[in-house]
Amino acid sequence: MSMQTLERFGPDNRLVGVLSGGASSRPLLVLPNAGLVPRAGPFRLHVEIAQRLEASGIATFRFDLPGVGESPHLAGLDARAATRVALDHLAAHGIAERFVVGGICSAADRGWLAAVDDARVAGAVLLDGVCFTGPWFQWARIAGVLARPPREWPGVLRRHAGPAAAGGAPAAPAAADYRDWPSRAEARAQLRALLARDVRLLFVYTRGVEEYFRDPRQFAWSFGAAARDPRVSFHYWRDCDHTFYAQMPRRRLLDALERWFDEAFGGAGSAR
Amino acid sequence: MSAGPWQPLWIGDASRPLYAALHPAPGARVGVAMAPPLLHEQPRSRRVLVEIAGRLAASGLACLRFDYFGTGDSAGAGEQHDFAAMQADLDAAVAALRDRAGVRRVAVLAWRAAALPAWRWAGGRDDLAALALWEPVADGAAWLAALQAADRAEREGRYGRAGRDVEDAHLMGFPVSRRWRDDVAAARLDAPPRAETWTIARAAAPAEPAAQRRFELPADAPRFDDGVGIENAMFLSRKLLGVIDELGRAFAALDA
Repeated sequence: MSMQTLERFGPDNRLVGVLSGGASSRPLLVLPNAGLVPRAGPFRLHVEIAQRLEASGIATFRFDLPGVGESPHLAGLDARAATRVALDHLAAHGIAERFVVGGICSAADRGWLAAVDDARVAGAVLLDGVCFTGPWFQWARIAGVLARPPREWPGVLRRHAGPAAAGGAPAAPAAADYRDWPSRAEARAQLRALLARDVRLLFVYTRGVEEYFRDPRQFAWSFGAAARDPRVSFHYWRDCDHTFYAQMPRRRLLDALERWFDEAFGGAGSAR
Repeated sequence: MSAGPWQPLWIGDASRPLYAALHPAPGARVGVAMAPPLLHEQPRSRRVLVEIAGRLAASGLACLRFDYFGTGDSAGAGEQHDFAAMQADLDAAVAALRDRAGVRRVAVLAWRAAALPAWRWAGGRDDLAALALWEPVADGAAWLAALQAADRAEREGRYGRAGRDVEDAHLMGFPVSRRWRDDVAAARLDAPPRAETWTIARAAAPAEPAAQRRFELPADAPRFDDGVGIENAMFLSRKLLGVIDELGRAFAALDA
């Protein structure tokens, strides 16, 4: 039977998280909620991650950020600060000294920022996290158009040229407009700094973020030479969706996550 | 709005712990156990159920929210979630509410398809003050068919035509057992339970014949049939607050 405990933390103990698993030599995986989805995760993904990793001796902690799920809005405590408060609580209570932080989409953004902010963060799990479009993205878009029957090219090109050109509504905001992302130059510098600290990173991109990721060569274009560092794991799963809805993508993610933990932080019984 | 102070806890047998949250009300004589909706409707409605529990607690009712075994933050795998398990979970929730809040009378407020297992479960109990059903699913087979069609559309949108017809025991993003599907398909709101039954529904919804009382939802009440989108969370509207307050007064009157 799974070992789960409830942790109350933050201002007046008004935030609640679920800790799964016992003491471990490996970092504790912290999963802030993603978007407006409560802490159990999209389609209960965070609970499945917790159950799988607990069997491998890895503890997890999932929690609702302020204003989501069960958590109240807390003046002065944004998502970045709340993540730090969660780590402070876990460290102060002797639950863990080192952490991996991350998740899907906005939770990946939390993971990146936590790793940048906090030397206790030894790893980040970035599922559809930060990346930048650039020439390989544009190439993939054009290649996608050319793969269609020629009679469809004019219409597709008109749409790609932008709604203004087509006389339509204003363009939808790009990912960088609403995600908590650094600039490309900042991201490159931040990744170099993380690697200088020996932080391990797992990047996974899916077809669910085709608005900003369509070609695996974008990764190196975005992050530079550091993208090829052995402490950086990168996958592009074009056959998976953003929230791992069906069984196949779900299993693929759980397998990859477990394998990455073993490679990055040693198997059960060993410590890195 | 604030959900007020509440206490997270584990309830039920230690071999199958359920995540729960008690919204206490000092001196409460009536308690309300809140049975959440199923599958994708459960996480989408998490926030609004927290807010409703807080509102009811502020009106003097002790409220207990919980996640079924194999769902939400409770222990267990999704495949272990079926009607027998849900009915055991309802037993655990009612027992915890009596023990923790010290209430004399307990009512159950069940959302959507939770009405199906709760209906049959309530028929076997004589200690329930009322069974209130929020937009109940009355025909399990029809609901399951609608879910299967929605699931195929969702898969096609995510994986293309090739992914549309994959049979992988997931439904609306969650693993479900054969037993769960059979339970839902066989369930209907037929022979009325012993407890007084209420419905909370939109004006256009057909009347539930067995219901003794009906509360009408405003047009802007959260919709449960808006898909599985990651941002489709539900929130409490100002008009809905009036319905919650009316419902709270009806629950409180059960002790009269």
